[in-house]
Amino acid sequence: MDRRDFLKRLSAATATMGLAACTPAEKTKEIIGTESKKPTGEMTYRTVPTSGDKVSLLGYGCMRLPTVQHGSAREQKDIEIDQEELNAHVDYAIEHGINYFDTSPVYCQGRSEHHMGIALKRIPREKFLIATKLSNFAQEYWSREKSIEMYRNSFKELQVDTIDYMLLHSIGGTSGEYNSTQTFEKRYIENGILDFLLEERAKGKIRHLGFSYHGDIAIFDRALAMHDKCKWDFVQIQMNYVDWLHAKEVNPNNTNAEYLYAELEKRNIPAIIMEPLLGGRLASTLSFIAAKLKAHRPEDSIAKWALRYLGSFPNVLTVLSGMTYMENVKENIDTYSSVEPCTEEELALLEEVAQAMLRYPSVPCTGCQYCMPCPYGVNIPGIFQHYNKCINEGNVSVSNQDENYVKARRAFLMGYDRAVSKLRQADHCIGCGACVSHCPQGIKIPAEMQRIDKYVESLKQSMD
Amino acid sequence: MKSKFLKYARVVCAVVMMLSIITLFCDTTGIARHYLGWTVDIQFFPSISAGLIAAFVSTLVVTKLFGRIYCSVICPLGIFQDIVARLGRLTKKQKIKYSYSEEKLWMRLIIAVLFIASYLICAYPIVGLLEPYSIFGRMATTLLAPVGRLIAEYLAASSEAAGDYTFAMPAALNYSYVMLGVALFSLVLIAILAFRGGRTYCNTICPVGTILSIFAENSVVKPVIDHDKCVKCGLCARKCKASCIDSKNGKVDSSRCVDCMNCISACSKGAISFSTSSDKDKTPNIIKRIKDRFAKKAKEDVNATVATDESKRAFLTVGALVVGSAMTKSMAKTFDGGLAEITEKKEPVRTDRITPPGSKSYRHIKDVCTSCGLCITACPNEVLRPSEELDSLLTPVMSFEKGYCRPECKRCSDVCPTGAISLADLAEKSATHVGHAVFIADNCISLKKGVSCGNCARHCPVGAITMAPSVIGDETSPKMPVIDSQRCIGCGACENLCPSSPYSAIYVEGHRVHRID
Repeated sequence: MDRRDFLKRLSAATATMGLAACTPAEKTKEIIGTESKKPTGEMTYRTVPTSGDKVSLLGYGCMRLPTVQHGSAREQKDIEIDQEELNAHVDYAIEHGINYFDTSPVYCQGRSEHHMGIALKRIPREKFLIATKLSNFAQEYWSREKSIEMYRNSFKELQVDTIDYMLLHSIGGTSGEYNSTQTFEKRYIENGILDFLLEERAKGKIRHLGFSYHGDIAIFDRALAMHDKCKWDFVQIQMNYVDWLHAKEVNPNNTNAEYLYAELEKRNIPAIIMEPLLGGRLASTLSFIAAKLKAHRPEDSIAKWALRYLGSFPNVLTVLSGMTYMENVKENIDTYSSVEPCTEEELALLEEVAQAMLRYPSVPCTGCQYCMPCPYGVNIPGIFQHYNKCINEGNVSVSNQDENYVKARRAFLMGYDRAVSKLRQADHCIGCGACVSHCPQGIKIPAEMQRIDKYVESLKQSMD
Repeated sequence: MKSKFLKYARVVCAVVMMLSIITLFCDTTGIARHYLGWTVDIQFFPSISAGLIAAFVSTLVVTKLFGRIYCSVICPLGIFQDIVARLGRLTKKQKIKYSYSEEKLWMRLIIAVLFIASYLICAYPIVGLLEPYSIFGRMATTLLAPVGRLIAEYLAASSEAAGDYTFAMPAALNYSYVMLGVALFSLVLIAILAFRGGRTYCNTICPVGTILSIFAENSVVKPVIDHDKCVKCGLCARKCKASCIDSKNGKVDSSRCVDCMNCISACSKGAISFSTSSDKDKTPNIIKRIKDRFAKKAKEDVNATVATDESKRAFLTVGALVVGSAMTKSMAKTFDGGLAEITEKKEPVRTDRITPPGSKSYRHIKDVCTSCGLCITACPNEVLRPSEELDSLLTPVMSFEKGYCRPECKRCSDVCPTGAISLADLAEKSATHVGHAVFIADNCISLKKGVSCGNCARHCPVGAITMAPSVIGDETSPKMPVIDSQRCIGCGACENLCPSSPYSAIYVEGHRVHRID
């Protein structure tokens, strides 16, 4: 907890105490604490057409497992994963109806499968569905032998005999000098791995086979064209109310989820959803946008809207959400217990929200720090965080004719110097591009840095 | 009652003045200048340099009318001495008793002549070292401004915690131990003199005091002793900080009187009034006094102030050590993990130093700047610092390790009371070529490591830098900056933002005379 948080909490606590002190007589109902709030409904389940599997609408993402020390298990190998806490998460999740766990050999520096294996070993096998991937991204894994070795190792780590859901991991991407088509060929076709996995499914080692997709739409189309042969049991796509119609505006490499979903629905292939909150951007949004949503449903968090939205699509099998803290698990479960589908009017409202968000070009940075350290000392996530914070607080002006231009300029510049020390600000980005390949969001970091730098420069020069 | 009123009025004015000037030196926002800038603009010597004729003529007129009020309520060094003298009287068990002393006429004259001569022949830095406002300025810059920074930092942090952006994080101060040494030397010297004898400095050393005394020696209104009421008790003389009341003969030497009004409030008989005087009580004018001295052939002791070299050295080192450790603590910032260490930039060896835009030329700054340090405290970009070279000692020079001379800023020019730095507007600044950039291929990471960079070209505010292939005709060869020195204004953006550390691959060489176009 940093100082800012501390002060916030302190003032909140003081305020609460003050209120409590003021109204002792009026107290009619004792509230012991919000933590005692229990999920109010039942988990929703969706059925896989090919197998009849009942899958919980909320899936547990295993990309950011809890750690013993402060820090991210994704980033540093020496940060120990907290097995005990993970067990507690899994127990709570199972108890509240989650049965889908999504991992990969590459998550948490290669440790995710191992720890999930330990956690799930304690649970009766029929109570959970495990999904993992053939994550042969690195070129050294492109050979048939190495890929199969990776596949076999997943069984060992997860301590299971069958894998319920197996995915070709993130097709549509590029690798080094190879374009997306070549990469797809090298990873799964030329080495015969796709055929191998189909055989494994036939043998029953894999219960469902599918793929996850990011990037080049040609590969998505190509994979779906192979549906007659492969009989995909499911496909994992990025979808949320912004990506539905505006994926290109967020990231030119992406394709509208409307198209992806429609293609899957046409073939009766269920969709598994990743990035339901668009890297956290749909969990906290511009205050005036938040106010719009709050006006409709004052009780609901902003994130809940995004999750309810996805629940409204019948062909969505499960929505994956990464959970690092028990609070995340509880909150997610609470949200997904008894999902009410969005009404037509609400869908229109969300589209309006999406359009409003896109007018304010925040950077889709999730603060994962993969890009760091920048060899030139630039605090990349710090700069994006400040920029996005200013956007969300309405302190980024589109033009100097804006009503609150002076105030916004002041807040932006002063906050900038405080949030990021001068020698680590965007003007020190030389555009070497060392960070770009590390960004899981595919943010064009140098271009964004220059955009922010130009914005800062324009603000500074208009200072009187 | 009325007799006390004058003294209180003087104290109130002095306190307001002192606080204003201190605020000005401690301000990091640039706001204080708008409201308090006049307090330094009306300082006697700076107003002459800046050509503020109205200000310095009014000072002379007021002095001619009322005596050296200036020394009591406008000069910050004078007020400082009053504070020290007041402390002296508080701390001593027995209140210090001043006593009348003869005028140290020769010393006054020699220093005043030296001062005027230095000014006329531009023998920098004697002017700046003797001039009272600048002496105070250096003390404020080195000793008070850091405190101001700490307060500003605290305010920034607490206002941030409250989600408010009224106070900006202040820019760090470019600290100079040479300036600190000079400031401490004058501080200690003047403080000792003030502690023991009140306004000794003002009446023996201060050239402004001497010049004003010529106008004050027969001011229209001045403290006058009513011989009928006076009982020659000597109370007034014991209260006189300027040691200028000869109570035995009932005379006030108005050339040395600083109009503190203490004598008027001290006199139990109400014998002293601030009024016009009869011819009998007139202080002889300076020419007459000089003649008198020649006639008496009095041998004046002129070795009182020298022979302090040893102690100066000691003060320099001790002071530097103490303040040095305090400064590094307050300036050090800790960074969270995950950030690459930044090798701090070092100042390149420049053939010609860079002086701030608006200072016109080396010559102009030498002629006009009194090295008070106000511009250095005002610089929000950590660019200005006092020169530590002998020929430009303590005058402002620029370097770009921590920031560069931003196109939207002319705060140094706004605060400068002497006109040493003076810019009409930002357009003039952007047309002033204070230096030009020079490329050092050996340091360029684009050439050395083949990294695509171009940060210098991207940030050049005048578009003087373009990135061109390093091998002529080979478009794929690493790009290097090509500088159009005619366009370059020497702002230092390229030097500051160059990723090469500790020495940038592109740096600015100063111009002895600024080109404006």
